Amino acid sequence: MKQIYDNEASTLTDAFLKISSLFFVGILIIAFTTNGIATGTEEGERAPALDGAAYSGNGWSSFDFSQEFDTAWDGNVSSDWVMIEFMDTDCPYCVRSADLYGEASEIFHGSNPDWNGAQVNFFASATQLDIKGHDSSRDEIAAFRDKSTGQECAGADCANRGGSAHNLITYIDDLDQENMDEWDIRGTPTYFLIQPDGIIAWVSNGGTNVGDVNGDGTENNYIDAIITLVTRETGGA
Amino acid sequence: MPSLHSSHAKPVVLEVSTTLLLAAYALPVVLGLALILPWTAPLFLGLSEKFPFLNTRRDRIFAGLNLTLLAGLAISVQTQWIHAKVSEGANFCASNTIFSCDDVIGNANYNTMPVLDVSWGMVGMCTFAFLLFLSYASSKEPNATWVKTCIDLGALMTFVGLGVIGLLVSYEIEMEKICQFCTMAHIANIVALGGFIQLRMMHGEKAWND
Repeated sequence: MKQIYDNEASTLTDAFLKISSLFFVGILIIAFTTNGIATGTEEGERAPALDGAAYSGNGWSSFDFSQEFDTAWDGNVSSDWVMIEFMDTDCPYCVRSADLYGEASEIFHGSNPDWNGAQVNFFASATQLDIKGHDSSRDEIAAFRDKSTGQECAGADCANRGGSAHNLITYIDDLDQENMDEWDIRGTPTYFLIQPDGIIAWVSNGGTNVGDVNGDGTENNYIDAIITLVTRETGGA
Repeated sequence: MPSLHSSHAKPVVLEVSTTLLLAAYALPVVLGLALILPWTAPLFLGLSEKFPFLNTRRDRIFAGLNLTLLAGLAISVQTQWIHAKVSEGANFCASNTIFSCDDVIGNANYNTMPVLDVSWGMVGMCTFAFLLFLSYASSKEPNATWVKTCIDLGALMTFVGLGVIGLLVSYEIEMEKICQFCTMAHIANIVALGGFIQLRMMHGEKAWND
């Protein structure tokens, strides 16, 4: 009887070792032949998904962030980059930066003859922070984008914010903070510059290469990041 | 805002190698199915002198099951490899039309298991490895006391697999894309279910020790 049990145990161990070996051979093949990129929000990582309805001036519609990327991007200048701002329409800093953000969306657009780099598509993920007095809505986000009257942004009429209407910026409804949590956003505004293949090229904070992207010794903003990193016809990134 | 998702022209050499690879995976699954099916005994009896295990119905089913599950494991490794390749930005599947593994496996909304967030390729690898362990161990010691448990567990897992297959096929319908490798893994699961069910029916009967 003892002999039978030994045989059975041996069979199980033998089978386990053989199948485990096969499994780990598979793992090793994958490990040695691929170079997977983790999804995350640090520079060099693949940008996570961004869910929610989007507003580009013609009502709210569903939005698929993955459609913005070309995973087979080979560094060419014809593929578009993505700049995304995580913001709150009631955040005074976001209101103050609206002028520059809107201007940047026009400067780095393909229609600007003075810009010889890849087009940068601008997005803003608008949330409602858990701060007293921050009470946002889709109407407020639309008013912020369009610079239209009737809604209050950070204590003043949204039409009074600096700059012109953000006609080239797509706003995404993140009032439920889902995207903010997914992207691990610690404050607004936070900016991400994303390559055409979906890899994060620069983060305004929380990244691995914060600040000085062009090596001039000073803290840089997203304009410097775009100028330094975005593919240009005369060389660039 | 223009969509940036471009379609890519695939080199012909990759189309050929993908087809060959699919054929290589299909071969053991088809052979496994043939060994498992009840009415195919005459096909193999001629070879039984050279391969004695083809003599008995039980051993033919075990052989077919082992072969199918081994192919399932290999296909799962392939799908996990595609998952890793897609994440590094490569683009290599046979077609950019309806058959497109990179579109299916690369779709971040569907390519991982709900709740656990594990890629479907890895789920397949673990499942097929465990099923192969159950089947292979049972085939080596078919009269051991634990064989019935192994067979029951295998049948249950492959049956539950039908639900997972249904979910994944619904994803493919939603995406209007089909991943050939995933489909081959689904077929391997269905064939394995057939094998486990037949073993389950045979176990404890006279035919088991014929």
